[in-house]
Amino acid sequence: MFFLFKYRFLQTIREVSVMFWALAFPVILGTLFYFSFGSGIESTGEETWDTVKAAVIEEDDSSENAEAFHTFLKEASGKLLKLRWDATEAEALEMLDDGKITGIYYVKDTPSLTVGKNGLGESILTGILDSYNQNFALIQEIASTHPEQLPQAFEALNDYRQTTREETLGGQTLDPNVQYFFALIAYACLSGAFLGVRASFDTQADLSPLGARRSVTPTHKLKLVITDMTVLVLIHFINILILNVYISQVLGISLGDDLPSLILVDFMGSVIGVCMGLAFGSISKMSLSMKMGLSVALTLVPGFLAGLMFGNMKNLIELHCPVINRLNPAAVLSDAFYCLGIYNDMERFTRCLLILGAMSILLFITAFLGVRRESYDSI
Amino acid sequence: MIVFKGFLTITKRNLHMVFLYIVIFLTISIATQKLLGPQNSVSFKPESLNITVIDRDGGELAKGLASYLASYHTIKDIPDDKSILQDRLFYREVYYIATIPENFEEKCLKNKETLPVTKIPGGSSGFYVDQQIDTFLNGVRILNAGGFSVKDAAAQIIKNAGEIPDVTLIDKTGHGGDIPGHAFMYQYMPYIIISILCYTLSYIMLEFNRPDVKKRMQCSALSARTLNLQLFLGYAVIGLVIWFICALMAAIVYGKELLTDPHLPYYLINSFVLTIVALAISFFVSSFLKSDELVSAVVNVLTLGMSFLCGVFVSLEILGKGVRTVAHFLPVYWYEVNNNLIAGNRTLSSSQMTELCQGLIIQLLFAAALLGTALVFRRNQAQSEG
Repeated sequence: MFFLFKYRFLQTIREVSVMFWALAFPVILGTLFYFSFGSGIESTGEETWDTVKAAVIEEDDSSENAEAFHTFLKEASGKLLKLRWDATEAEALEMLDDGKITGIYYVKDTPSLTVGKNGLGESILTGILDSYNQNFALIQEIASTHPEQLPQAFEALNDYRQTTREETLGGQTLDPNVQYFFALIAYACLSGAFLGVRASFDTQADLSPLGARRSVTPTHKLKLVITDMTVLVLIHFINILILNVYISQVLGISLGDDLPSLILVDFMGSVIGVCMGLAFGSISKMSLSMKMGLSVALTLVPGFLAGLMFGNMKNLIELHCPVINRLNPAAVLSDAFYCLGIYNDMERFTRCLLILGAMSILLFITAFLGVRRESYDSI
Repeated sequence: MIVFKGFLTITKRNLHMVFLYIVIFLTISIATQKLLGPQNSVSFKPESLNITVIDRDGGELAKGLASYLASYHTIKDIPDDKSILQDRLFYREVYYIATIPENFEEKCLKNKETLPVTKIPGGSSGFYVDQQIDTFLNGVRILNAGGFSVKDAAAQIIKNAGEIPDVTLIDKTGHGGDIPGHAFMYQYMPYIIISILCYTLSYIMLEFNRPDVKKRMQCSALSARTLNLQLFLGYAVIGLVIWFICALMAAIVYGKELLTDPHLPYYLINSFVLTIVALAISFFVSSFLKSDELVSAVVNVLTLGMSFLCGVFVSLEILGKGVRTVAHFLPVYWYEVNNNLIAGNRTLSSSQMTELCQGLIIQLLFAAALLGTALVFRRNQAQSEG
């Protein structure tokens, strides 16, 4: 058994390019994720959004409110907001139409805003107007009831604070984009299917010379399948661990504090990925390229449904057809990660792992049944 | 035309695989459209959510916050029990939980402590709840500093909450200020087109790149140029078919809405140019790939990576400046810039037309560069092998 294991292991890791890409592809994707939205504040978020450009039209600046709004806009103009004061209304409308500015502020007794469509820049402009209105109302209220307190009120106004912090139910702070990394790890686990499909070729006599050689040995088929599985799971598991270390240490995205549980999910993920590939490879009689194609479907579609590409996907499925989320291995995996990282829910976490375990056993049996007692015509 | 014929023969032999990829990616595309739709992907409008406020304080400020949030959202009454909360979050019965700690007034108003909240990942709606809490708590602090009691301050803010700022929307897009649904479909079409072409052409080219086949072709009387031209012709045929299928899919899903959109020709031209880029990428990739096992890893990195960086899945607006600067060096970025331009304007001014043409030309230049590099690589390889 050890002999089988050793040589299968050596044979697998000697396919350098396959090994390289099996590890490199989730690592590269993770890096790209990180740059697209990973670190929350650094890549997406107010600090790095483009300046929103708007024009200001002073319709009637005689009233007190108009004057206050004028001053407010002068002060608000800066890194996030760039204002043009020199345009006439017609020019401003033309610029709006041309996409050179996002909106037009009108300075008058009731300040107003004109925008061309719904979008991020537009909602930033609306937010600025809204916060002005609210604060103006507050200050007016204070001025009419407690005018002596106005300086303190202005001081409080200038000290605008962020008042919430995102946390897990257990109380740890959370990276808002961690979901994409969970989905990525889940997808990387499932891509073990490619290794599994590839390996199943080496157990079938009609597909490869090595398969023929292995088929004529008196070794029990169960032994062969178990060896294949252990070797691949081991290799794949190490790859996934490297990916985890990379995400948490190099990219600095916290995957939670519960290290043993995290490793357990990684392990179960590697097992299900490899078993999926082995089972699929053993039961179907197709060319390698066709099998690889179906493996793409087998990994990418569950990944898609679990929110790899559009983060909201899994939530929608949970609302409309929750059974898919219970059966989709990528969704179960990412649920396990959520239980670990966000809900701190060990009970449901255990259930996710049990589902994965049951699926893996089922797939493994399928893989074995696919190759056992297979006989070939003598030609 | 022997090479071209050979190319088509191999394609025919692999037709089932070509169909397989078309089915996979069209399924993903249609599922995205049907389930997420343009409205659900990124919403810029605050929505009403199911949220929960766990009040461990019971004071005026806590009650005020709860009733302030109730004016925007549906508050679900859930007992303060971790396992029940976990359950409700897991099944998406609530999207947002704000836990108000004891001594909230002192902690928040005087000690600058923040309020712990838990959100379901995905979707941008939780962000608006954060903002509303910011507005409320800052407002109370200002009024409090201005001499109001906490109770009166909270009541005042709740009274102001209903006031909507005076915003006029000029319908610039021709679709009520929104981006039309088919524009969303065209937004992620690069992922679909590049994936299908890269997968299928890579497998087809693997057959051509087999050492024996390659040597056989090299010793024939056919010049390298004729050979490449015939290969390009083969690529063009496949590219046209895939482009046509994708355009047809958009037309079937959106029907009249898309067909009557005056910008339809622009969408078609933009996606056609993208198809040329995708063909160049496939040619480039297939020049380097040597074995079946690598195809999916390489193509995945390429398509998913480029899609995330260039605003295919996450709209360009939301991506940070840094990412966008990097994305300038990728062709899909220019496709998306064009797509946003087409989708966001009912009529294109002359300067916007110039911008559109620039985008198209840059895409074509990328295609030419990729093609050139691939040809040089193939030639060097042929010489070193020979």
